[in-house]
Amino acid sequence: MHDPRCPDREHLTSFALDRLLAGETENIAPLRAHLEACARCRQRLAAVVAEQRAYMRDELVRARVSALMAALSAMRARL
Amino acid sequence: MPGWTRQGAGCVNRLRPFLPAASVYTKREMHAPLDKHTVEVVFRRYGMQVERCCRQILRDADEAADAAQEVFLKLFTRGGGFRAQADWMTWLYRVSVNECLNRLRNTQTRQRLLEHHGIATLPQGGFDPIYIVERDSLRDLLRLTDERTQAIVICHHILGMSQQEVAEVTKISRVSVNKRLRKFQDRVRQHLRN
Repeated sequence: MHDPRCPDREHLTSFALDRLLAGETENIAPLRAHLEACARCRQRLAAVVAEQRAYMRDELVRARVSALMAALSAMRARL
Repeated sequence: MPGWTRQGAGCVNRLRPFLPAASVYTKREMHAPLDKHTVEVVFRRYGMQVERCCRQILRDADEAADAAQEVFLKLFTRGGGFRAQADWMTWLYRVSVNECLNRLRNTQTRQRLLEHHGIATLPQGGFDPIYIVERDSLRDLLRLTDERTQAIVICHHILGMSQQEVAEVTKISRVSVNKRLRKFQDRVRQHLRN
């Protein structure tokens, strides 16, 4: 996302933030440097963390996992 | 765990911190039980991102939840067969985009989504002709191009990925991603002129 006010001219993408949160970023130093310098991306990262916390409510996770397990069982039954 | 086969050692290694040994299994071994705890741990780590990705493309919460479930089913039944060097987030985004594209191509799904949703403008940073086009119209414009380019356009214009990230997710070179995006833009310009 191009932004001339951003220290690197480009904000981190949502995909980059997702990988960062999942611990799947191999070269983390540039991202960390960017986050230290860019308030906008720090806000976006905080928003993603908050979104993840809100999404991971126990009842929602239980419902999704149960649906997934049921679908897996159905697949097994068809085989 | 008897009857389970290791596949794609690199992928499994990345999941090892929270997966029991060799939890990704082949079709032949689908009868082996999958531990609910494992599914929950994987879901807690990736569920939000997958569902959000699907929601951004489909713009329908229920449809996105269904699509995300399909993506996780693929992860637990086919995940081990993918390239060892691919990280899971990249793999999940790739499968999510393909799943959503298939749903958008499905006439009934598409019609339902178009009927239920209004206008959403594209994020800033795209190219000029697309600025004036609604996101639903972008989906219509996808018909102007081939399936691989459709995935590229969705990753770049809807999910906001950089060209390098699109290249990783779609397994197409960055140069080719750039060419395909330019070609798509030219077609859109032509289409809008007409």
